[in-house]
Amino acid sequence: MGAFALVIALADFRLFDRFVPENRALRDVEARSALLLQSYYRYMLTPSLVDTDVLDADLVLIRQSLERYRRVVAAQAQKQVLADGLASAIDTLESSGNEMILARRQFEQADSLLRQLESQLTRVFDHYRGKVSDDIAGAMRASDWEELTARYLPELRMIENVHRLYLELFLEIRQLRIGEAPFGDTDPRERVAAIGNSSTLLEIYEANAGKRAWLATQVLIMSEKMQDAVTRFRDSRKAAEFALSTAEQAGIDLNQAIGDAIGFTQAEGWTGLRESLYMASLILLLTLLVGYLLIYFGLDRMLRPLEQLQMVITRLGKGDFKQRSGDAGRGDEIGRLARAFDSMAEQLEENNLQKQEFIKQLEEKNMELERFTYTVSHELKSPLVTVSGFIGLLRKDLAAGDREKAALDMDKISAAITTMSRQLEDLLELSRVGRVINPPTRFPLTDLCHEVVQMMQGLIDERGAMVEIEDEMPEVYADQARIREVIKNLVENGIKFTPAGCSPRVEIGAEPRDDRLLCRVCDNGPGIEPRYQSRVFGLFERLDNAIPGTGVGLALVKRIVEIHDGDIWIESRGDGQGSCFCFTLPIHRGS
Amino acid sequence: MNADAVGEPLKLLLVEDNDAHAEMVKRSFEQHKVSNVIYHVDDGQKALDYIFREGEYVDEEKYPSPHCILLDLRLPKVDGLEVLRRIKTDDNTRKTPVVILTTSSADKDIAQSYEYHANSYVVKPMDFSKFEALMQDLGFYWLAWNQNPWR
Repeated sequence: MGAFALVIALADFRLFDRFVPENRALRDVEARSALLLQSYYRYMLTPSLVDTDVLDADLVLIRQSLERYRRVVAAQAQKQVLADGLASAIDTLESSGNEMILARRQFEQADSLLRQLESQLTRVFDHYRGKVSDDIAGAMRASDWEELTARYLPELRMIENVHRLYLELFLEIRQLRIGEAPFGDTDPRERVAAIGNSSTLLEIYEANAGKRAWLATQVLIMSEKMQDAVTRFRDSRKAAEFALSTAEQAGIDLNQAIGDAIGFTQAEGWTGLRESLYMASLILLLTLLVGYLLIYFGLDRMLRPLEQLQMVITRLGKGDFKQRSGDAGRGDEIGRLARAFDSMAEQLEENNLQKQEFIKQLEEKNMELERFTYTVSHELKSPLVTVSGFIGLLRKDLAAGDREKAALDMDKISAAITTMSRQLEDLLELSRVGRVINPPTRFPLTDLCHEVVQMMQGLIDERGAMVEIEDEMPEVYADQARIREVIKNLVENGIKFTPAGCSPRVEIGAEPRDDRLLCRVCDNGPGIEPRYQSRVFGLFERLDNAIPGTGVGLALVKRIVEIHDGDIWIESRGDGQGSCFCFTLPIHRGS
Repeated sequence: MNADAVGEPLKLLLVEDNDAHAEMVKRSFEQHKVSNVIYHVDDGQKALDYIFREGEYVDEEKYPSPHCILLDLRLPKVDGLEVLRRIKTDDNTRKTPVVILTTSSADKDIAQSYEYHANSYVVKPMDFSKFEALMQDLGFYWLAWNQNPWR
């Protein structure tokens, strides 16, 4: 038992004290990953509000957690291999040791019982012999020798016979002690009973019933005790044999375990445990050694992928979101970790792509907004300069008494104020287009165009214009009020820019193209040269100052078309042969 | 040192799409002590045509080369900055002083203008008395004080 303690102490040394629950470390990694994901989400939604240093710090924390997990897994692996080996070896040895102890105790009990029996038997035999001698001596004294002889001879023979039987029994009992099988299959009680029932004995002892009964009783008692002892001995021998074989099996098991562990079996070569239980402790030491070797090489197998994973995570942390572990196929904890990591990396890559896309959109919006505010501030200042300038001139003209000039000055002021208020209205409308979106409906384009023409009847009549609308154009799926504005602006432009003295003619038509409707609004005006075509859609951009307008109309049209995921462009050569404004509109949901 | 020494009135090209602003400039210069002639065009394309004598501006007598150009930035058809870039990349026209006269005080515009070698950049004042003073100063500075390359 001292050897077990030694072995356990050895196993305990430096191993169990390093035990840390690996799950806690893994949960730590998971929690930190979750935090990082949250940070990324926040970053994605509002990049300006999240400091990228925070994300970096999160990544550093994850790396630390993984490092911790790596160490814990290493310690855990060491502990597991050794603890398993130790536990089974100790179990086996302990149980076989217990068996041996039990067997020995039983054997000792059987032995002492046997000694007791032996001494009892001797005592009984001595006593009996003494009694019989006394009896014989008494008989010799009392009667003549012939009669005595005739009377006692069979009894003496019987006594001799019994004595011989006792000796046989005794020998057989002694034989029990040296391990030979006693009595064979015969019950000793039968043999004793056979003696007791023998007719000779009955005949001889007829007159001596008391003695006979006593002897028989004694023999029976002894035989029973003997039988008991023999049974006990048999049992204890069986137990001893079992203990031995268990111990042997334990040795073989250990051997096999070691053999399995190191890759070959040496069960045949080992027989030591039969000799001594202490051999087991030797085997345990060997197991420990082999365990250490296994751990040494096993750790390498565990740690290398972890180091690789750590490298991959470092690269991921530096923004290479295409990194994957490459260990996802493994069935062990590393495989689980690798799969968890891969799914995290996939999520990160996806988020990153979304983030990039989002940032791109945001930048575009930002630039658009910047252009917008720049243009607006510049353009709105212009009429203010005019107003203040002509107020100054008005003062001078009035001081000089030049009423004619003063009137012109006031016209300029009033025109500038009108321009300003129109610009403001148009800008408001433009900003509303982006903010207020009416739900799309299906409506026939032809009907809408007729409505617009009715609304503009005043201008059309004034310029003697002709507006032709194609019959039964397909239905569109869009914001009806906004599309009305598009048509109105384009028709108005078509009429407005046609030089005076020339009757404007506007044609509206549409045809399906690629799941959408391609609409055209064409006029017979001066046209727009290709080099100016992209500029005219800009805010406050005007090609001809002679024609009144704020320069917002086409910007508005473009904005509305773009909100419907459409494109708008101009087809014109700009040489007085008119121009066509082409744009696409959705026909049904999602087109 | 005086512009009169040249013996002819100084020629100024005003590129301004806002007619009211153009009139303010012209009326400011009318009261000027320096004799001057203002040629006005109201978009970027016309400015280029005038400067490079193309289109309707071929006639040199009618449309003489200006001694100084007052250039607005936001112009129809061709942007003011593009007009400036074209003037300053042409060997014949780049010596002509170009003064940017605009309502924009955006850093981007100022930086880009100097990048394209604008000679000066002034923002139209909201107050008319200052506007007039600026026109007086511009006239004196560019047409009298400044030693011009055409001499």
